[in-house]
Amino acid sequence: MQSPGRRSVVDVAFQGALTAEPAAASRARTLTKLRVTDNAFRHITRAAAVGVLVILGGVILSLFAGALPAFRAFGLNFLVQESWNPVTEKFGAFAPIYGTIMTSFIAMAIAVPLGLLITLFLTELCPLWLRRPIGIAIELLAGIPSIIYGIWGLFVFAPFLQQYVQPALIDTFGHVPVLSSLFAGPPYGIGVLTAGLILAIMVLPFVTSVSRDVFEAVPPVLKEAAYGLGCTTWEVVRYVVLPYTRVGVIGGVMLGLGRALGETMAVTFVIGNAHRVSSSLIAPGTTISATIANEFTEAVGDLYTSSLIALGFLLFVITFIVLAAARYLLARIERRIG
Amino acid sequence: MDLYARRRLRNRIVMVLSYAATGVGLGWLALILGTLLFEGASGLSLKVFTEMTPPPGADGGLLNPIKMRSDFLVKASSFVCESHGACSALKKPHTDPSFQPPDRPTHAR
Repeated sequence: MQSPGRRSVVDVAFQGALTAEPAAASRARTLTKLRVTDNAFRHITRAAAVGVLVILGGVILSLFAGALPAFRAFGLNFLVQESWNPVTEKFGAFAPIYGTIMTSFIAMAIAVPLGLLITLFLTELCPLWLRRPIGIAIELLAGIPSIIYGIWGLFVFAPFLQQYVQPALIDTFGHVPVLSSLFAGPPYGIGVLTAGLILAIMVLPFVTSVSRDVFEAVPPVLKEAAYGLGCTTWEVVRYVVLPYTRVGVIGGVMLGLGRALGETMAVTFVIGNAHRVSSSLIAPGTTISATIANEFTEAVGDLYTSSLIALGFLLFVITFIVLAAARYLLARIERRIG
Repeated sequence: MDLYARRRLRNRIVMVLSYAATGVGLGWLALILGTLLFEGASGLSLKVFTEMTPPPGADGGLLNPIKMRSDFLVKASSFVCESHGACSALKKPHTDPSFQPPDRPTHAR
């Protein structure tokens, strides 16, 4: 039992040499042509794969080269200095770094529980015919452009927060020891908290859609066994579904975190763009990407431009560290489970 | 409170939270889309889609950005990223020795 392709090679090797020489030569030519095109294709794909790395490396290199003057001028102080003064050309990245991490932290603290609860609803509670529409609606949140989030946040959400939510927060927590400093100062409407809330809504569909996909991949047998033992829905999700899907859920969370860290436009609209670190969540702040977006066109002088590029480099580093940490976490979990 | 009641209560709380979370997500979407529709519908007219961007203060359209986006940017970017991405994805099964096609059973580690 030989496949047709196999037989033709045998023909070329043996019979072709003895009898039908033209036919064998033609087959050999065809085989050579196939090998050449195959090789060419392999080289093209290799070039494309290497090209991705080269582009990435080029971005890193050019960022670093652009940031070098700022790093030379300020050294490690650049990371811990709070002042950002274009007039005296004293630049420090502490406020943007703090803002980036704080807004992302708020966003994840809200979006992860909210997203998992929505996923729980979609996979366990929702009637079948409603699952698709609601799932699509939640994913639609990811389709709204960030500039729309920004405009909406500035003109609708921030005034609402300023009038109703922030005064209530200040009144409620004003006399509680730790929380009073978290909610101190006048209610501006815009600030770190507002940016975090907007980011939470932007990140939500990522967490939800990834975790819904992995929740649905749980073998029904496992869940039914747990239900058969008398587990409640919550216990099934907590002790069967979540352990089974841990890796996927963390992946979704990291996807969302990546977006939260780098988000520019929506944050720029609502964070207030103040270069200072305040313990209060309702005070204006800034993030790395918001600073770059705001100031790049107006940056005069090499040091100013270079400091902004250095900010971009730091964002790159932060994102890289976060993603690497997530990889490490996943690898550790996988190894423990075996 | 006995164990049974406690488990039931905990389950009930999470279920209510889950409904509430979905409500928050959908409500937020409705808020944004509603605002866009209410505020944006009044600004729409045929001119928006048929005329170039006017000088400031005059009535006119957005044909320029719409055309630019759909005709040029999207096509150019999808051409670059799709061809490049597909090629680099094809690269992996051909040369990576550790790669295993997903439809075959993985061997014992």
